[in-house]
Amino acid sequence: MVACMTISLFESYEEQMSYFVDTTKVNLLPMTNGRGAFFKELGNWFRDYSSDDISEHVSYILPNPAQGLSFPTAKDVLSAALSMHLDSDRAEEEAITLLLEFGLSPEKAGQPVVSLSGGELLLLNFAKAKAMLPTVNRLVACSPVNWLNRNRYQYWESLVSFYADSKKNVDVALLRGEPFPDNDDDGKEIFSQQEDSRNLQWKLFIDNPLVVFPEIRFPTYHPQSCLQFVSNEKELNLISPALITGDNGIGKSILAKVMAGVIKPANGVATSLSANGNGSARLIFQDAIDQVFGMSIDAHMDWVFQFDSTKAKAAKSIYSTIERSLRETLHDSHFAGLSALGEAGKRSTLLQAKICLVAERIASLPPLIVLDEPGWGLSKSVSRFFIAEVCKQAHENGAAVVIISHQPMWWDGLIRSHVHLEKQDNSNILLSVQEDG
Amino acid sequence: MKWLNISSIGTWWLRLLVLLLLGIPALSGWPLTEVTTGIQMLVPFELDRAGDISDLVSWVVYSSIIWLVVFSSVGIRKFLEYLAAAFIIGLTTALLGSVVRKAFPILSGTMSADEISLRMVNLLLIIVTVVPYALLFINSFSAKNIITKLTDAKGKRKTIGLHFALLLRVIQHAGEVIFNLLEIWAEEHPDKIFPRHRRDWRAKWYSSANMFPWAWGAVFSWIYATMIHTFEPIPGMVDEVENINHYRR
Amino acid sequence: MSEPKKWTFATTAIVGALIALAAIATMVIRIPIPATTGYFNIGDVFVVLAGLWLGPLAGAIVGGVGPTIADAIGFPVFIPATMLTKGLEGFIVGLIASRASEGNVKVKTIAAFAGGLTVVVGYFVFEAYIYPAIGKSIPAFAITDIGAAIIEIMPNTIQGIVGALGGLALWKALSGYNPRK
Repeated sequence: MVACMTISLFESYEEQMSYFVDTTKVNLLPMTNGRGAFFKELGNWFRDYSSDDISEHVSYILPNPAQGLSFPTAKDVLSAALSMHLDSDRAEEEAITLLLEFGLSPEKAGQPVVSLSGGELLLLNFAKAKAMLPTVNRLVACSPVNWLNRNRYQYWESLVSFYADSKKNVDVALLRGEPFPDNDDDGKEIFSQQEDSRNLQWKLFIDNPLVVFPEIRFPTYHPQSCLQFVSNEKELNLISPALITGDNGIGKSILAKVMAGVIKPANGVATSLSANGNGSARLIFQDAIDQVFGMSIDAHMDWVFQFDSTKAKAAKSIYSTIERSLRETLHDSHFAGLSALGEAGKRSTLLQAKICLVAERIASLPPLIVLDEPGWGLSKSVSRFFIAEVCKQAHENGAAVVIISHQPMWWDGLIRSHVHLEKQDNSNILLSVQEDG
Repeated sequence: MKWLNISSIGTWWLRLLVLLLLGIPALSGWPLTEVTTGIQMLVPFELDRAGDISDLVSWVVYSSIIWLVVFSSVGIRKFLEYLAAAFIIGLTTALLGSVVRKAFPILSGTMSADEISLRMVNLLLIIVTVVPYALLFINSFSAKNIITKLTDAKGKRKTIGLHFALLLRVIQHAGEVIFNLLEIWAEEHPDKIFPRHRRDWRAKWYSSANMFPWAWGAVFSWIYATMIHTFEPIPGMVDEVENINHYRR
Repeated sequence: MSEPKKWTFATTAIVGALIALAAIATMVIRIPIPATTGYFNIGDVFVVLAGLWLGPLAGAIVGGVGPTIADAIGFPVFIPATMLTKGLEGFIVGLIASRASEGNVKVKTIAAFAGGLTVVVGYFVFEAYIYPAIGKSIPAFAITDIGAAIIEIMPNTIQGIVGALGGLALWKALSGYNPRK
């Protein structure tokens, strides 16, 4: 550990964000408390805003790495940061150098930030933090390697050493149990996992789906690109819960969207078959909060099922079961992770939003539920218990579960199948079932 | 048809001039009225509503020219996407206009049903002409280059340049929000315009009337979701630009 | 009277957001009025909000630019009328609203409805007099007359009321004003 780096551990996303706001004075508007609360916070921010209040200049990395990147393309983000101390011609050149230095190819320079993967966004944040180094006093980083594959940790370590060489502090805010280089706190598992002993078998049909992304010129430019998924067998026999892994930017989230029918492939199919029959999967996105569609958690549940009272009842029952079970376990274990669930009787935390989204999806009786980085914003122990409960409820309702994650070790003992995505020489993405599943 | 490719015009002001000249008929009606008169003279027999029909024909001619230019400039795939957007906007507008005419006859004034119908067809033609033209116009200029030029300014103009850059960036972001929300909506609503869960719609014979409160609620949900997702990153964007303005040499 | 707030980057960002939202709201829900080929829309909500929340200059910019972007995609002949009428709407709302303290709901309500009235009067003047006059030399503008303009008064009135009420509701949510407190 570098001498000027301090690590703070938190039990919940809410505690982590509170620390971030106190440290950086950057306002983050709440997204799960409903419209009224959001607009009130926005109004307060605008009323109290003063450009004379330039406090200490800090660079930062948020748990959602897309936040804090205010310019449309990767190159724009870095040019803007570099322009604080360089003229624009040098800033443009230096931006490309920085991209390469932090493991991003020059093709990413013109790509819209919204189209980058989670890992690529983190690397871009590292590059931006380096760009801002001459003008900042310190770096505040929340969960800076959470979406990175271990083979890319070197980029974080490189960034920290730049700050150390400049004698500038690095404050790291982690959720307990999060993987981090040299972090001794592994998130003690002080309660036993209630694993689901049922084996829910299911099939994934992969018939070489080809995803074509058309050229986009407005509102930002994005060149045409293609992703071809292939598999040695068209039918993969798997056991739920399954894990999908792969390098950053390889297309795991794209595959999930194809399986859910959100993206229609130009050719081929990717569907699933389980106890609930066959069809498209249901999906929880990486940035789950967006799926609440700007509503409060309660309002969202009511909105989704306003015309199906049977499913509304089922979803609310599933929600209550999961939340109650989590509360009991966290309470019995004297585990401070209880803060992730907030006050009893009130629903406003990130974890509660995730439980709501999962409950809604289980109640729709899909063949498969895909959770993209479900551990985001949760400590390791809370994540594991949350997923264990999700699997239990899903299996009881005939749905298989797939987790997409960069942290396969987090799910040790929970996972029954493992599919790995790997880029072949001809740029196809190969899906292969791993023996360790 | 390379000479019809607007994107190949290197100088920005020449590109702007060509696009503006191309748009003159839509904005001023010239020379469409001359073409209309010419068509009327060419028709050898008496035609009811000859003027209106000739006007439609002249718009079809103009529309064809615009489509040819757009096709040459952006390629077949983009052209079809522009046309799809244009027809969606045009058809919904024209059909809504016809519905309004039937539901609220007073809004038609002294115009007859035929006149209204021809007017709605004319509106459809205008929209399917102007929408691809407008999209070609927007995509022919780079907002990024404008932003770079503005923010390169020195002294007092630097701050004004940063204000424009932030303004354009936020407008751009609002467009990105729509695409993101569309993905979220697509996951939740496989039928796109109906709720996924509507078991109670089959409960009683009149339950299908639920589609109206559903549509109303969906519109409001979209409005609020678009607002919230648009405003959400603004404090961070402002903080970043403020720091650039403060620390930039 | 409330102190005019200094124009900051925060103001620019909010104005940009409201321009985009006004353009989207104007484009997405368009109900054409057959007599004039004008159309009913809900973009005024954000124009009124801009005036109430940010003042006359921001209101004028949001009104003049946002709905005009929407007109440029589909109804180009209405660009001059929209730019001036909606720009004036935002300006008048902001001007009246800024005459009172932050929480003065009465004055804000008057401001919002004054903006709605501006829409009705503005479009009437354009459709009854200005466009027919211009239409004599530029045929594209010969799309309305005084009869059609009179017919459009009712839908424009509804549009103005919807804009005023919607803008007031959003302003109330943003200002945290609670009548029960």
